[in-house]
Amino acid sequence: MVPAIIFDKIREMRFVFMSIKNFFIGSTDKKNARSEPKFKGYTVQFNIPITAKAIEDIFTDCYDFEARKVIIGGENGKTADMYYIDGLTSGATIAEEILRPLTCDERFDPGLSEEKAAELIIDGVAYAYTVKKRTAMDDVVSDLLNGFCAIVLEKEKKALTFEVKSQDKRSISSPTEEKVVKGSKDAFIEVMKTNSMLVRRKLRDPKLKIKEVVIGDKTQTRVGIVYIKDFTNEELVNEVLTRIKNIDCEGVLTSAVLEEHVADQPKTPFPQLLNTERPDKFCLNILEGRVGILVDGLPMGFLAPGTFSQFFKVPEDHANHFIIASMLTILRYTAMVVTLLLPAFYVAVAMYHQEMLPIKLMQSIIDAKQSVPFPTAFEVIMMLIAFELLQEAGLRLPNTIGETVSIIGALIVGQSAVEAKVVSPVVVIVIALAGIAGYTVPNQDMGAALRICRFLLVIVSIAFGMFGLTVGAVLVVYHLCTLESYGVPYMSPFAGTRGRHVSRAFLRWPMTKIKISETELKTSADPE
Amino acid sequence: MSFCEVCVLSKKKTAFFLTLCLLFLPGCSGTSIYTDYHEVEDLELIRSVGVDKAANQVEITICSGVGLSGSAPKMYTNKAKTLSTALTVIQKEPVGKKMYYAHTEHFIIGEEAAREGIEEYLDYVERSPEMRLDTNMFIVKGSKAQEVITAVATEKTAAADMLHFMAEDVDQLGLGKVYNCGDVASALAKSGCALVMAIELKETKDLSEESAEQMIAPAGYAVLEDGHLVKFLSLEESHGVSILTNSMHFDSLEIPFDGEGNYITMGVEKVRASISPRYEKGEIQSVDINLEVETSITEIDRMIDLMDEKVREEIALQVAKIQKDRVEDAIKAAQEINVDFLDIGSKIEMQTPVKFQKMQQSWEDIFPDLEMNVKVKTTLTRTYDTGQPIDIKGSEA
Repeated sequence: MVPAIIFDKIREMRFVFMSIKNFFIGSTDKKNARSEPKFKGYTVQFNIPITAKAIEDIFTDCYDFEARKVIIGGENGKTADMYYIDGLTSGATIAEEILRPLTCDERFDPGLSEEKAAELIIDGVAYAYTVKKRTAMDDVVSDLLNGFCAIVLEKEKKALTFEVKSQDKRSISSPTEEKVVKGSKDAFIEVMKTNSMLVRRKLRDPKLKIKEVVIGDKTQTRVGIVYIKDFTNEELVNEVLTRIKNIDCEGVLTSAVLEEHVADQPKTPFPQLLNTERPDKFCLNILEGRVGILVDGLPMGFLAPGTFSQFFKVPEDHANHFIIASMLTILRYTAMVVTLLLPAFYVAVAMYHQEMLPIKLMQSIIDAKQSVPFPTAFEVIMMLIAFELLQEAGLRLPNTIGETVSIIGALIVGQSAVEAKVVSPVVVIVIALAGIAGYTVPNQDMGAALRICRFLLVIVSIAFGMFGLTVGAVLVVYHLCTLESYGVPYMSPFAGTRGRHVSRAFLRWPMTKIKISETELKTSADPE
Repeated sequence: MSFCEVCVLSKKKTAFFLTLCLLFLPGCSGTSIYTDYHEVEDLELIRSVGVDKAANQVEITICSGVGLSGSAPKMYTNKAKTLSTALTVIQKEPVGKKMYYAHTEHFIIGEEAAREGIEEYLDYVERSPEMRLDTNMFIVKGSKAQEVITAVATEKTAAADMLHFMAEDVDQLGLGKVYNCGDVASALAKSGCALVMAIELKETKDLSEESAEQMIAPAGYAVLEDGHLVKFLSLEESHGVSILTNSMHFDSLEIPFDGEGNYITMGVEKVRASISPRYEKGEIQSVDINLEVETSITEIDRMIDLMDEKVREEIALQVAKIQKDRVEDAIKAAQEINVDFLDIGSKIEMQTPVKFQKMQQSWEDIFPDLEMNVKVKTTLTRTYDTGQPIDIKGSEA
């Protein structure tokens, strides 16, 4: 495959260019030079003995922090201190599963030591399904913040923690960002355990592992690394794990924190982590050999490594007939070319290379542009900005108002502006076509990256015509070929595979003929 | 980092940034880096360029097409010593728009200008960054290019539209193809002669308006030798040329059949001509020209019995005779003026390069008297009888 060989050559050339770039500008690889992992369990350290006062001191001025005395074993029983955070815990569960058995159980003898009482509780007096005996204050604090309630054993300097999490959460609903045409209708929610459950329901393999890491100094966010043991490339798993452990941040409340910390090249606008709110897509990628990342609080799953071709696939490719799936994939790639190049091509042709278009089309463009007072360059830039404004306005506003904005925008820009001869209808068509083509790209992040490149290409086309467009497009391809994601060439299978498996990017072969796993990801199914 | 390394680095950095600065110094005047562009609405797309001779000057006539909004075609004319000057001066005149020649479809040369030579015009087309070599070339038979362009121009029609449809018709009329500037320049450079489609003005009557209008019609080929027009071929000869150059794609023939005014219409769907020279003692004696004609019956009187083999043979013979006559006429025309515009010499050279090399110098002497034997093999199709379907024929009903 000639194009694949060209991409490979570009990838090889990048080392020359990188050394030149490093020579002039200096190396930019310092991001990955972090040698000492900062993460050592919890970043907030409480190296103090477990006492009721210490816990109360830690949670001073927390209005939702609740403390109460409990008499264990009836009237003559021992008094213990119980703590929990209201809202994170379920009051009914505490009452039913902890308070009732602890206060009513007759096995608690008045002379019973704290240690024996603790053993009784762990052995089944309390009905809570998770009971942990904690000896470090860090663990107690962490448990309290994660929906546990704690009973302090004052003399022992220990605490028992019971999982009584509140079940207040959004129910599993249909995905809103990624439309399902032919597939399961569930979507990830903000609770990681629910998300891991959704994954396990689809991948009932005991080798499916979900390793937990806690990141974020202030947020203490739980992150689950999902992979299939003895199938997923072990080096890839370790690399993902290492990078996530190395994340040094105050909190993980948005996806960008994770994406930018673990990406190979955080400065590129092209996404390097695939994200999805669809469990079926998540699981499909796990089966292809990727490592999944679930983050507590984020209603989506991430997948590493993200490669260029992966952002043009949808789960329906595996649901539709292979001919239809292949045709739609090719259509998406065509749309990508259209959205990226069409406005820049129009600018180059309308300003510099009028001979490139057929006479009738050229005549039509001239007739349409006859009374427009603005130059082509200004027109196209203006329309691109108007398009972005409309999109941004529609996105930020509530649905009902957003639709109104779209209608007003379409009327003003699409009709009134043309009728008032402010904008040429051809420019409106070109920008609209590029915009619509952009929406066929399944991933929003990739769509946004293409929009940025589209702007840049329009600018170089304005300055240098087709020469500028060609150089710009080559630079975009060059940039893409230089990217790597977790050791996998970003442009694979177009680059880095010597032309093998290129067809998989465009065509979906019959399921009877192919394996789901991807060769480039070096799973145990494809040992190379 | 040593001092030397620092020096080298600073030199390289300087060189790098100076190279970057070159991007902004393209040598164009003005304050913008993009000075060499034109807004599309400032362009006048010229679709036809006519060239005539007028008292030691070149007279050009240029014409745009009809606007999509219905605007009438615009025509401009100018005279100068050379073609490029004439076109440039039009540009400088206050016409309000830039004349844009990249979409020129037709390059029309008047008969007088063609007889004086077209090589300088071709040279302009070849050198011009705007004009294209695939622009169709025409020579006007009996009048000037300006007359053709102006005569057919109305508010709704431009010369370009009419020439465009005529070029399509040429293919259906069995006249081969319209050669473009590139073909002509290439043929002149290769063999010193070339063929150009000739056109002429004819009157036609528009039934809706009941008024006579001028229209452009094909008038066979014009033969150029060393860039000068030497002969106009008749339509029959031009048919022969298109057969011999394998450029005929379709033709329609009317064949008188039984001497009682009955005609059969035949469609010639494919003609393949091949040439094979005959040598004796190293000297060329004759050339065999073999034609393979695939023809079909388009229209026929139902009384003619196509099931009769003799009838079919008779039809095939008639078709063969017409094709043979046309080819022989074309050969005769070429031999009369001793111009091998049929490219027979090149075809012989392709087959027998060593033998041809020996007679290449004397080819001009050999060609006029060379014996050419034309043989035609005709294949007849669509011979079914629509009047009497096969399953009914023969039955009493």
